[in-house]
Amino acid sequence: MRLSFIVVEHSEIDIYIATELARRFFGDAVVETFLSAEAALDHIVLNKAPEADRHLILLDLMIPGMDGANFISLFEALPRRTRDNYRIVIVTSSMNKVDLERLRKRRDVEMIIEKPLTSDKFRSILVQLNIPVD
Amino acid sequence: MSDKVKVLYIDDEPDNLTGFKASFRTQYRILSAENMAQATEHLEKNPDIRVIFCDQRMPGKTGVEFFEEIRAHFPHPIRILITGYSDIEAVIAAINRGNIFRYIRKPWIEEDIVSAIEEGNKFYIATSLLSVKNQELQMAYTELDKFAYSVSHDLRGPLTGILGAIDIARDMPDINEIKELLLLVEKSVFKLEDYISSMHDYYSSRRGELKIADINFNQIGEELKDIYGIYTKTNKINFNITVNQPETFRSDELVIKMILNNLITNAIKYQKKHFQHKSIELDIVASDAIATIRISDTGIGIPETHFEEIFNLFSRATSHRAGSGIGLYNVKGALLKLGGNIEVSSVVGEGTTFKLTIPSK
Repeated sequence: MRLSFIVVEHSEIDIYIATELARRFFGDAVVETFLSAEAALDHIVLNKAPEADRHLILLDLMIPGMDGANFISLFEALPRRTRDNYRIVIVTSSMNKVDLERLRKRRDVEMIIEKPLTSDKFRSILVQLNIPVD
Repeated sequence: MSDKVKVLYIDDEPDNLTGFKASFRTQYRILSAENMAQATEHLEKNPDIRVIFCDQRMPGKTGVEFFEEIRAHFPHPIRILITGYSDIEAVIAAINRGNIFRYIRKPWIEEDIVSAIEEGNKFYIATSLLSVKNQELQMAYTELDKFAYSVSHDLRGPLTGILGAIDIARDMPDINEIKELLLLVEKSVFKLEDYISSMHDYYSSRRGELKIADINFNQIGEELKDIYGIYTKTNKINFNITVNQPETFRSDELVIKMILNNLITNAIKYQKKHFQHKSIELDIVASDAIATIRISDTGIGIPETHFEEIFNLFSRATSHRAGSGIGLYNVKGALLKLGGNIEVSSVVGEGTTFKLTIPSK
């Protein structure tokens, strides 16, 4: 199975970790990183994401400029055909339980992962999405 | 004299007004009105009226009704009713509804009026202080909210990054990859350290009293050269300091150093990465009245639209560099304490200049 990851994150170390884990689980995974939510959204709107069986968006909530919650709202306004290609996984260090609970219920949000993203947590994302791990 | 307590007296009998004015004009600033329209006009023109006396028996409207009416528009002045025995029921009701502070029986005697004004004024001051404190509290809460955000973003963020790095490093066979990861871990640690020292500056600059002494800018310049000289040299940044201080200048040395350290650290942090001629110029001119400090860099610059907000707490003009968003907020706060000012001018891609003026204390 070919996977594509869109990593929306501005912390260098977290980008490194997400990329490393994606490659570790799927050697041929395509990982695209975006320092801002605006850039990631443009990328999705313009359909620039590569051909893949599944597209995962690993989304940090606290990014300068447009934040993760705004990204989700704008994403929800996209045409259904576009939206259906993606699942959003929130990866955050936020401790605001109320906000997180609200986001968890959003249509396109698959799950919320508390930072740090580790091997085990990465595996749990794949299990949740029924993606077989080699 | 402006420090006299301003008192408004409303009575439809001109004799009473004249008598009142004659008795108290030396102690208080008395404004008088024969009717409600005149009274309202005074209130509109004099927002600093602290105590209002009104006669209960007025044509058209009673004093109680008038007070009830103006309370919404002019909530601050203390309302005191002047009345005879026969109106006592109306007075009690008005006091209970909070429309009047107290009442004075007619015919009044001077001591009663003076005591009413003094007590009313005390109450006015206490209430005003309370509302100032309330505003401060509201601001503190807003900052606390931002701080809560900042704790998860700026404290927890780098820490979880480090934890994540440790997790993936466990399964890394290649020592070079681990070394690469260690560099990122180091950056996260620096970010944390930077944040903690800014928080320290933030609280000490807010709480501390100023310690005013003679400031020797030449010496401060030498110290800054010692602190930043090696770092700027190894990073190929030309760091120049010029000091011109012919006269004695007095201020708080620690606060001035904190300001300069923040601005220099920023000037270093926001240099263009691959630029050949990186430079930072620090220029200090101090007389016995004022110090003018200019710090210019050849960095990435700040868009004009961000000039205002860069001094706000936890604001960051760029998403690409590490920064806690506290540094410039501290600088601005410290300058306010010193009675100084900061201006920024910048061209994106070319550099930024901060100009500070600080009065001598």
